[in-house]
Amino acid sequence: MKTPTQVVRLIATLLLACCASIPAFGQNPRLQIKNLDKLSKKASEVVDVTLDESMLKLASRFMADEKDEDDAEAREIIKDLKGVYVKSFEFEKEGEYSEEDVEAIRSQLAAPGWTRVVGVRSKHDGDNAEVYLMTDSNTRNILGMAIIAADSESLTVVNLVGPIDIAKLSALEGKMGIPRMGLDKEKGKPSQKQAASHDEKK
Amino acid sequence: MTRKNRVGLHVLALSGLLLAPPAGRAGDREFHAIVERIQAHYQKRPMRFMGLVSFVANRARPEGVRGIKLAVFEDLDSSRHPADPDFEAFMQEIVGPEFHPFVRVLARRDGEQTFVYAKGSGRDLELLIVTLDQDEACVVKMKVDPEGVRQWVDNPPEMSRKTPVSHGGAR
Repeated sequence: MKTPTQVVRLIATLLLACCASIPAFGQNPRLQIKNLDKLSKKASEVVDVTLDESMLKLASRFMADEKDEDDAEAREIIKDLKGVYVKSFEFEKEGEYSEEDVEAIRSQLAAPGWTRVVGVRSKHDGDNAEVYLMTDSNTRNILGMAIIAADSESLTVVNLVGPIDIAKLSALEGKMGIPRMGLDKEKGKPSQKQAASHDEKK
Repeated sequence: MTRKNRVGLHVLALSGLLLAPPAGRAGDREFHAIVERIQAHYQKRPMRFMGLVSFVANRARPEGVRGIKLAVFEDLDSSRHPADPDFEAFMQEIVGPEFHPFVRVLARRDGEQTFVYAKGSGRDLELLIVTLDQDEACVVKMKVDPEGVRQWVDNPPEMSRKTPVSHGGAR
């Protein structure tokens, strides 16, 4: 028979264990990208792709027999993901979206836990690509990822929710509406071409 | 219970059995509701013989696609009937939580809107695709097998850009 003190200790231990297994308070890798909807009126084309956890589970199950190396890697990534959200805009001419529109997303990425791991800005062709990772402040596990890819006539925001193996990220390029960013296959870093354009900015 | 009441109950049970929609039709509730909404908005009926077209499409379908149900509306007069502003909200309500919004493409250039909803159905993926443009509308419900799912997951925008009718192989 447990004494009341032992019961309280047991509950406290269970609560602590639960708290340790969930992300730190306020760390939510899901971005609010709805506020970009106002750009729909100006855009010549808007593409929204939503793959929630159940869809991803289904997709990874269906991709289980993949022989293709890239597809097998993609399957490995998506099987643990909780969501993939892509919003993409194409515009007829330059200047249809403003820096403030992008800033609405960047401000969310300034929250604790988010870190920019890739930032490519080219003055030459106006291509920008930023990759952010959210890591758990306690466990350092990756909780989610955000990509902002923009040029003068297009804007794409990608939000991956869930654990991601950054080394395998390149396998997702060009899939599920995620733009090709030329990430290094080995390390999920920008390719030589992008690195060069990064230097260009400097 | 009196004999009269028993007879009444039997009649009620039998009529319930006869009037209950067949299983296949019950699963097409969303499809029919969307078709009816388009029909009411544009005051236009879908192309005739769609049952026959769906039948043919199911036989001449691309590999990996089955259970095609199709409704095509032609010659919609969008000058008299501008796009239904509540259509997307209506669809979300009608498909319910079982179907997930998967792809949405709005192409202002040609005034085309495509909405794709998906739900898992055993080993298949069930897709409900609605395409509206200035003078045509198309509603397709179909099941795709694992290979089809791979193609959809690989490139959802591209797959949704293909006309739903071509998915069904009716053209």
